[in-house]
Amino acid sequence: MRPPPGCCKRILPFNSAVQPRQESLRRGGARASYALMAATDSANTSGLSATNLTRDYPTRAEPLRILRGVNLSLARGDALAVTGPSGSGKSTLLHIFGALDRPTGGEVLINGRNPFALPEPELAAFRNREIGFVFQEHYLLPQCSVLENVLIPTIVAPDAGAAVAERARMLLDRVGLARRLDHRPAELSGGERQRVAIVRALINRPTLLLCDEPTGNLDRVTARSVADVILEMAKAENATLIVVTHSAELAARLPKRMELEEGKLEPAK
Amino acid sequence: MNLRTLFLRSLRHHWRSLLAVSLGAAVGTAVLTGSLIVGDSVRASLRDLTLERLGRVDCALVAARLFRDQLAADLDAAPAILLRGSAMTDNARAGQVNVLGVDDRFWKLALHPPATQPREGEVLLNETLARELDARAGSRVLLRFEKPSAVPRDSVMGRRSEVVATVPLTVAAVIPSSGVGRFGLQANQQLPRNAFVPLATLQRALKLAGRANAMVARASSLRSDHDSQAGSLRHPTAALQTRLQQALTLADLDLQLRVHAARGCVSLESGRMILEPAIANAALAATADLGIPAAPTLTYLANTIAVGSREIPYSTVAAFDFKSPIANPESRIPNPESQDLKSQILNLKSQNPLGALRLTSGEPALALGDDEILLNEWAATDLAAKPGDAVRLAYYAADAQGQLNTAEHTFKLAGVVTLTGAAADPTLTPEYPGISDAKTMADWDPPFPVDLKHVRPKDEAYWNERRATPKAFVSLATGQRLWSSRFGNLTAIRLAPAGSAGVPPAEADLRKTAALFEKKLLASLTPDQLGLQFQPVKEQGLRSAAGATDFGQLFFGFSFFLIVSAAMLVALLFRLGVERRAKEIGILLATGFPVRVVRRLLLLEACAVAVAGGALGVPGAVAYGALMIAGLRTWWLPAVGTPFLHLALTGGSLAVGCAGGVIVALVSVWRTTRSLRRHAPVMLLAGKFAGEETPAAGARAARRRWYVAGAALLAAVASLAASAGGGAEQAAMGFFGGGAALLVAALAFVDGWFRREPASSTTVDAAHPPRARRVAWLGIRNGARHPGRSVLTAGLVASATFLVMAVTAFHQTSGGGAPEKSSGDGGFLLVAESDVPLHHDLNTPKGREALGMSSAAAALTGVRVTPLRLRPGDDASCLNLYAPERPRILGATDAMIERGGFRFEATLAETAAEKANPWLLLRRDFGPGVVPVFGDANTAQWILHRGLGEDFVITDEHGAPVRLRFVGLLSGSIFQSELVMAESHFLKLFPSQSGYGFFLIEAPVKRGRAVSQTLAEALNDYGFNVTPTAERLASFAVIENTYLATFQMLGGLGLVLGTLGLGAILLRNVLERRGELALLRALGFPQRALAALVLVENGFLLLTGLICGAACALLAVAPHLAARADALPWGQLAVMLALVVAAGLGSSVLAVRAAWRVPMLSALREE
Repeated sequence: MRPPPGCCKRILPFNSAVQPRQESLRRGGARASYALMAATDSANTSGLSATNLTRDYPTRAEPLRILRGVNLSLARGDALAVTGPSGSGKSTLLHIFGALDRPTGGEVLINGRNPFALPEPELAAFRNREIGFVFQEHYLLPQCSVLENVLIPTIVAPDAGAAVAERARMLLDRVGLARRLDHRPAELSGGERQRVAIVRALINRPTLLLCDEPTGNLDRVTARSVADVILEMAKAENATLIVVTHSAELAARLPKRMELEEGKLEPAK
Repeated sequence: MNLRTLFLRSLRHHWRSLLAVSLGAAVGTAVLTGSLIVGDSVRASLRDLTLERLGRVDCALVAARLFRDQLAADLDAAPAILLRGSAMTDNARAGQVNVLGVDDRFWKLALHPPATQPREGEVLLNETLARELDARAGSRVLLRFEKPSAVPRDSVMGRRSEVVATVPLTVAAVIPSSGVGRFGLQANQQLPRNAFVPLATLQRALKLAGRANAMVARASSLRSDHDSQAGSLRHPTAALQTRLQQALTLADLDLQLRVHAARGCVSLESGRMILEPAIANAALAATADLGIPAAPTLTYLANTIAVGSREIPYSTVAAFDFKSPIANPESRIPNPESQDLKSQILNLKSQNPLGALRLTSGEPALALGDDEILLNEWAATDLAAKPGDAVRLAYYAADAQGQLNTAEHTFKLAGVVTLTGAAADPTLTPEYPGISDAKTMADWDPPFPVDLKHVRPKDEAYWNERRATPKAFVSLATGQRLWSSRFGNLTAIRLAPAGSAGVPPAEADLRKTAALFEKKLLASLTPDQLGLQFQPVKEQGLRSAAGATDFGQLFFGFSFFLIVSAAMLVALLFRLGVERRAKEIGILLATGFPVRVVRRLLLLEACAVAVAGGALGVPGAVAYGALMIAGLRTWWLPAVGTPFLHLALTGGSLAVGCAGGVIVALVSVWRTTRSLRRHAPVMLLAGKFAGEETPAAGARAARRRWYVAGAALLAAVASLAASAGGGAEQAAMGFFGGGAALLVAALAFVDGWFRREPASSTTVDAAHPPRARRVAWLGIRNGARHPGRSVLTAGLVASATFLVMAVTAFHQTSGGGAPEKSSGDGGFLLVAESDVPLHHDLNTPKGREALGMSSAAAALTGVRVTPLRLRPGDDASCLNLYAPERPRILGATDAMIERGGFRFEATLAETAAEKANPWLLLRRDFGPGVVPVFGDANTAQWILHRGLGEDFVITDEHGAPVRLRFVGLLSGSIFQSELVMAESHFLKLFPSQSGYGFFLIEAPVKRGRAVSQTLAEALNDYGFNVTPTAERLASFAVIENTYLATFQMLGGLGLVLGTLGLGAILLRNVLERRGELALLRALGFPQRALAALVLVENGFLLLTGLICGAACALLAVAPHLAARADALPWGQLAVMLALVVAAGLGSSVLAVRAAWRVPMLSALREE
């Protein structure tokens, strides 16, 4: 697997994170063991690979095969757009990459680790540390402010310190929401909500950012703006980016594009 | 941002749904804590009642004997005469009246003495009695009660007629039936009928000056100086008992020591005419210790002494030992020529305080063998008897029942004694008022029948000259064999201190000996073995106030379904709230929150909600408790008898109830939070909490439910089959079990049906049913959308319906038909109790005549009365809320045991005979200190908390502990207030209990009322209270039925609460499907159709639950229905079920309104 672009630049921040992770290791528990594994793996096999991935859904007649042997390999920092018709399995694929759903067959490795081999607490920690999600719906907690929504994932992050709040402010500033920190989701526009969701996805410096129709609910102008934010932020955070979208315009902005058709992932035409 | 912030934010944001959960928890807490409050209130009320009725009285002694009232004064106690009787005015009569002869010392022990205290010839009535008698101040009242008698009435010398005293009094005032007006020594919350009479008035009326049979005292007055100085911490009763022993005199025990200076002896005699065994043994031991020769004697009355055709009427016969100074039986007659004769006689005299009996031949009479008799020379002459003749003695013998029968025994005349020495001693016969003091035999007033026409002038002459000097003598062993009874076997013990050098002792010496002996005797007797035992009545009352039944537990049981409903409602509302927040939970999981953290968050919320619910529940609990207490004072009054309960709160119960409510709420939501593990974040993000089963999984789940349904159905069939061979009880249990199993089967079937693959829509389309039917079909199908929710709802309604209906199977009915021997009435139509025990057989003309009811003979033809001994005590039935410490005890006669009857729930019968007649078990020997008894199963289980074969410990009349072993448990019997033992055991434990106070009466059903009236009128003086057995059973049943009604009412409330859950589910369903409903509207469904859709959905679940529950309940109560369909409270059931339907449909209406309000466009957009 080739090293991801900007890998060297990112080594320092990652190495700088080793110290607190080893600290957490001493405290024991799944989080600690995962922290060591993540620190080690990120230095060696960062990125995403999927091999012969299948996913079936049982039906009354016979199982419905959504994914029929998907293979994919992305290095750290890669950005991929996945397109395809409705029902082709794009979201399913994304859910599997995000360890939200389990494949029927095949293997997924994220930074060299198969998340589905992890027990639930470690899987949750893995997801918290390595994966950021942006959904078509923002899923912001209505009871929390913008800043609090962004900080939600840090609650369970093992090494989240006081600095994360500063980072959240910084990221929100970068997406133009510096003055809306205390606002509730109900007080934001659709684009603003989605930007908050993007910042929330990136708050823990994930190595994999997964976006499921992130602009699906937005008008063209807002969609473009949100897309800008996703691309910029992913690049800035050196995260591997996978965007599932129907939008040709958004797909066109990503360096790699693939199409999911009849359960197989093919380079986009 | 941290978990705490997130938690607080969630609390604030979701406050409405959480408040709903909290209110559910509050209901649970209120009901749970309220139940505990009811328990506290009952206990506190009983405790207060104890303190109120006893005032400052802490200890009390009630004896079966009369002692000096000075004895009470010596102990700083208040003397009293406590009697049970009846009261009459011109217009009314009241039975079971407590007649209390008291004086100032008693009133000082009252917390609030009455303003008016009765003076000579006056009586103070409490309000209960006054109301019953319709009496007021100035009214004339007759009090009737048994005349206390020193002589046991069951003994031959006991007086059995004219035993009732009637005392006319003027009512001085009527006092409230509270405070001292409620005074009573027995723990019972029922209002007593009290009549307070001046002690002196009662003593005068009874000719018992200076005597009392009871004393009451306060603890602070009990500590002796010695105790105070020593700082003794002895129990006040123990201290009092010690002082009692010190203060006791022979007069308190009806004993007297007569000094017979002329005869050189001292005689110990009893006013009871016979020395009690304990006293006799102690006296003989004392004489042995003091080295005083003693001669125990037994003097008896012979109706006739006959030889051949000659006979002497009404003579006394003395039994005592004639000790032979010569060891060789062949030389029984001392040789007058012997130089040693004088010393022989002196020796004889020294051994026998009675002195020697001298034969007419001049020889001293020697020891008699069995069945040998000596006649005095007057009798021998009159009978022309000579040694060797057969002498027949006819005498009265009292059987165990106290009935006098004439017995006869034939002796061999061993010799004729001269009327000198002991043979001429009239004091060998104890003094008996009515005989000893009669100038002539014609003036005799004996307690037994005598035919004075047999008395000849020569008999009168003998009486005139020699009074009751015995005419015949037998050995003590022979006398005791013939004439001993449970009351004793000696009439006197003669003490003869040896004089110096053969000279009889001087009177002064005799008095000295008497004093020495008295001291020794009193020191060796303990008051409790003589039935003089102080009881710590207040301590016992307060202990009993803990209650036979824990009303906290009882009402917890009654409210159980309400609590379960509240818990289910909490679970349901919490789950609905969580389901509504599925996306929120999904995003937390998606962003890396471990499931346990999310669960912890939800549990924290649940904790907060539960605690808030607990806090909210506390005032609710007080309100609920107050409502229940109000219920017990009004609607459910039969359960407690009198409206004495008041609300009492304790911090402990509030804390325990609150904690319990919180725990119940947390346990209820636990399952929902646990189920998080099963939910994929993707599903949650899609807003799906429950998840959707794949058809295959649904089919598998449906199959599983059907297997369960099949198994439960088999269990139901097995239960019904098992009940076929048993009795009524087994049948009832079998049907109840069968019904319950059928309910499980029905619910499992419904669950399976909901989860099955739905019928193809094409089938429905092809049928082209009318629109209404299609809408109904859609509504029913909607019920299957969330099978878990739907079955939970239908199950809740079904279970509640089942419980509420099936519990009616246990409703007690008072038959109303003819009594049956193998039923709870034992075949007896009537049951009676008399305030004054009867000593005559009501079944014989002689007995009736003795009771002065000969004229009632015709009315009592075909009537058979079975008497039972009655030992008064605590009512052991559910009519008494106090825990009985000394339950009432009945003694069943041999005739009753042989007769048998009654229905038993369980017995220890082993032999075929015992199985055929379990009453024979009452005769089984379980070794010393164990007495077999029967008790009603309800009494044993719920009041005494004992099972078959278990023991209940009481103390006998002498203060010795006795274990009453339950050898049989009667089922639904008339013996719920007492325990039943064999009369033989009864008399051993309570020998001083004379006569019969409890009666079972067999009579033709049609004449029941007439017989009842005849008996009550004829035996009015005895306070004979007759009750139909059906009425007595009904009085017990009314309590059980009240409890059941309480259970049903609270169960019904639970049912209503269940329907609220139904409404919540329906609302949730509507809100979940707002898009779908909007779509239907967009597709042209009129609002009415949508309303119908929602109503059908709700109605379907409601009806499913109702039908399942009701059908299974009907099966459960089938035996009762078969017996008496009218026994079930159909009206009440109908009202309750109608209430459920109304509540269910009411919640449907709310859901319908919600459906109508769905804004079509926004809902469609959301979709």
